[in-house]
Amino acid sequence: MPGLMPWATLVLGTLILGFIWTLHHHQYDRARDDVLATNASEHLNLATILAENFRQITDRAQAVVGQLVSALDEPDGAWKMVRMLASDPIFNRLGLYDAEGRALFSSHAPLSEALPAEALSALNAHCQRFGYVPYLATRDGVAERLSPSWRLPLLVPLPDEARQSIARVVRIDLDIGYLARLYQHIDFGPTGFVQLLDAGGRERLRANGAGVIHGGTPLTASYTPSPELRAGRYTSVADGLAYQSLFRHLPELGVTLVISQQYRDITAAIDDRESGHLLFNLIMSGVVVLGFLSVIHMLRRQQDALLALRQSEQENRQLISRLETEHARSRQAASTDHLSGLYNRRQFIEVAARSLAEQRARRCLAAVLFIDLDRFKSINDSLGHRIGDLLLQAVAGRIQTLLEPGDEAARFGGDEFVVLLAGNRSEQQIDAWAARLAEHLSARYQLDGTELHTSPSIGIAIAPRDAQEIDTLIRYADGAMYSAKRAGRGQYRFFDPSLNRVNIQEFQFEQRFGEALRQHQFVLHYQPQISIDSLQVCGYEALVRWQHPEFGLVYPDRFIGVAERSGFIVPLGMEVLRLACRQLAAWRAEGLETSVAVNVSALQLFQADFSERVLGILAEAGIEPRCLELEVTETAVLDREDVALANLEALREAGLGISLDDFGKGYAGFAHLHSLPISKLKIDRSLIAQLSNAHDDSLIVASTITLAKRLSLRVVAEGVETRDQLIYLKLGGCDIAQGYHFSRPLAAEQVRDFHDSFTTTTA
Amino acid sequence: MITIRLLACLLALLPALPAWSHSQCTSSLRLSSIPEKRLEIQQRDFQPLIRLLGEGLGIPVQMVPAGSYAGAIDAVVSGGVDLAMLGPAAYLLARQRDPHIEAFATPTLAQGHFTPAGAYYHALLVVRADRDVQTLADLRGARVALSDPASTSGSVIPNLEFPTAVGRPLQRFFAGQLYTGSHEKALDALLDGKVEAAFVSSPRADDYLRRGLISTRSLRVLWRSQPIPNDPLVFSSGLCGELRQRIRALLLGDSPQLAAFLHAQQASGLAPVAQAAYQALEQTLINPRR
Repeated sequence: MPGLMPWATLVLGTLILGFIWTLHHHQYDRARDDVLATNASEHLNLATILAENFRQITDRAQAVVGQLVSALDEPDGAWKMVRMLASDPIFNRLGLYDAEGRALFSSHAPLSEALPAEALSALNAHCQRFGYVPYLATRDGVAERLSPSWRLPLLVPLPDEARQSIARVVRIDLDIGYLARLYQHIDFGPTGFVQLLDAGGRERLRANGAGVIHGGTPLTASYTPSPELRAGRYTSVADGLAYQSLFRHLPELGVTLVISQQYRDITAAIDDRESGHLLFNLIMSGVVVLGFLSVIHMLRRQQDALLALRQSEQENRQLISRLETEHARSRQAASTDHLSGLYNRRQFIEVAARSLAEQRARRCLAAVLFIDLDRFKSINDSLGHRIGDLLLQAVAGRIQTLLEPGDEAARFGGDEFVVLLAGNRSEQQIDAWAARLAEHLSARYQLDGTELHTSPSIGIAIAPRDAQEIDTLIRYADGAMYSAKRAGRGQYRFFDPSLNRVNIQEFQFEQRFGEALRQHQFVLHYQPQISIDSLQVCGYEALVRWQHPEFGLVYPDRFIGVAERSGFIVPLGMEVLRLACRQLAAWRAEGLETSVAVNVSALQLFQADFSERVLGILAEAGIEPRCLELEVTETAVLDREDVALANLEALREAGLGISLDDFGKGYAGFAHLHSLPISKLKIDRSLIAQLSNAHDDSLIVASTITLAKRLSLRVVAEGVETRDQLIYLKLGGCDIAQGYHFSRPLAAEQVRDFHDSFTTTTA
Repeated sequence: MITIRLLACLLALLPALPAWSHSQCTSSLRLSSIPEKRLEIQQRDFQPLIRLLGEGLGIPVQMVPAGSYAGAIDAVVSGGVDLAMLGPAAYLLARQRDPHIEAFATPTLAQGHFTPAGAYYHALLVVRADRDVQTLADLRGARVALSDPASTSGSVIPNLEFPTAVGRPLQRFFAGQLYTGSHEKALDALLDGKVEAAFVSSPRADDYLRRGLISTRSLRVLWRSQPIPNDPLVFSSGLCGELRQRIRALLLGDSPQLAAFLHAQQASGLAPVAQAAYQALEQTLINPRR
């Protein structure tokens, strides 16, 4: 559309110019036509008046001739006639001729000898046509003495009595001076004049207001008016100039009066006005042209500007879309884990939050699965990071193949993957999906020529049952994953709220173990072991306590499990050993010679250098090995073989006491006891507790004591709380008792007082 | 061509006699004049003369106006008038048709701007002084005003004498000739700008000056003819001798009554004149220089 505007403007400008000039020409053509018509009308009137005047002249000629004819009969007639002619302003002289043209009388001798024959025949023809009326002679046969001729001869035919033919002819001369005087006050215009033509069309007189024109250029009519036409208008030309000619024809008198004026002269006033107007119109046209050119120019510029604007807009759009593409790419890059191509944690949380909200709106379940690869660290360490990365990519690929529309997956770093299951799944379907995932991820991997196996531990939290928020769900799933890991490889577990609380504390404990160790938050409490026979304190069992800054004194049943699972049990065990040794040294320094039993975890026993380190600690503290006793569990010695046994044997050899803790609780039988390097057997407190209730059970304790004795093992009873129990044990042959009956575990600084008072009491 | 034809005509007509003579004395006198001025002005100018003659002769004296020079000539030749003021050429033309026509008196011209004092005057070719026409060559192809074909200074002399000054006939030198019928109208046509030049008689130009119609700076004279004898007063052939004598006595008698008439004629008086005074001009007309 904008492209049409300059054209429309151009057309409009042309139309306006066309209008101006058409109007101009139309106006002036009309004005010219009008003034020509007015002029024509005036000049026709004038020609009519002059023709009428000429008719009166001929009438007068007839009257004069009549007087002559009657005067000639009188004696003094001729003289009278001459006197009359002299005072006549129109006619100067006359001559009378017979029918053959012979002169009969002349006012001025001699006028002419005779009328020429042609003149007579022409007169005859004229009379036959128009009757006996005066007639402007075309040829009079009288030679002119002066040039130009100052006379116009009229022939007046005098018929015979019967009016059958011409009897006589009078030639009477019209004084041109009279006509000149007649015309002198008529305004024919600057270029106008009157012509008097005879019957032959010959110009006999040309005159204007100033006088008779002689020697002017002949006037050529553009066409010859028909002889029958008595009046009219035509154009004539002289010296290349066009004249408007108006004529009045008097055929009966042989005369035509023509009044002519140059067209240019007639229209001079109009032409002057037009040239003034022309200048104005030219200026107006110039203004219009300039105006429209400037409008067109402006439109062009506007259009160019518009075009430029549009172009720049387009460029901007392209730029914006390019920026958007770049932005999307970079966002994608930022939101994607580069290794697996899955979401990273940040982006996953964003996406999953949205997805969760949608699921909630649709009243559908959503599940968050926290996946951790078993043994990934050892794979990474043994096979290298490259294989580790390939494995992660493969796992990511396998996870993705199982995803359905709406499901999202992410890698949280390391070997942790998180999946959000959306869609419309039931809990059973979620369970089945998790099982399928575990199976899938447990399948054999072929990575760059290396074949390997791994398995996932999967924790599952379900919204809205477990929680609504994504962060919470992830945390719960993580917790569930830990419980799955505890349950063994390739397992998956749902989040259980009651379990969750423990897990949470365990998790917190695990997080703070290192710090607790550095800040020596672990302390040992000591429970006395009493020799039943002597009722003397024969030693103490060191029990670890966590002086937790938030939770206060935390008992080992709450954090040892966590420490074992996290491997923290190893440094913790060593710390306990160090603390015990240091305490032994402190007591010795105070003069208190005693021994301490310390619990050792199975994991500690698996450490190859365990025995060396224990001996090192003892040496460092300056404690004799016999003062330290290690308590190990059934499972620790029964499950594992070589390393643990070797450690125990080395320590036993060094002189340390080894006691088997919690005997009678598990399923271990006596079959293997003989092969173990142990010196004591501790009967589990659950067996001791039954002693007071059911006598039936006492058999088990008794038989256990008996069997232990056969293996030359000393027997310790745990959890002795009553005197009855003590008596029973004494009767049964149990060597040592430990329990609330004697004392609860004591802080190290209380031990001295207890030791002294107990010894005193019993002594 | 024209002069040849003119000559032929003159020769052919010389022996002719008047149609009828009227020798007995008339009981009234008729007077005419060539129309040098407008008829009404001429009528007024001639009143003193008419009064003088009427009172002196004791008979009615009538002024008969002539429409043209030819009319005046015809009137004198035919005996239609008894007494006439003619131009020199008109007189000679009339005398060729009637040799008994007698010139008897002529005005003695007063000194004028254009005319010398005395018995002669000039034909002048004048242009407007405010137009840029300085020489005759500038007038070539222009329009020119003349008076009557029979006027001596207004047509006859220009036709005979002017061609020698420009080397070609009048008709071929000027683009158009306007015969106005009188000197006054010729001057008017010039002053009105209807023509670029005019042939006029010097006394008529002086008359315009005297009447305040022009000033001495209005006109520029580009050509001046040879001296021309002044207009004659003539008797027609039919006038009786007695009246001729009495008229002569009255007009040549320095009557103070004529002062106004003479003044109008630019004249200081009337002097007797004879045919001989026009001999030279007659020769020129008959035998013009080529």
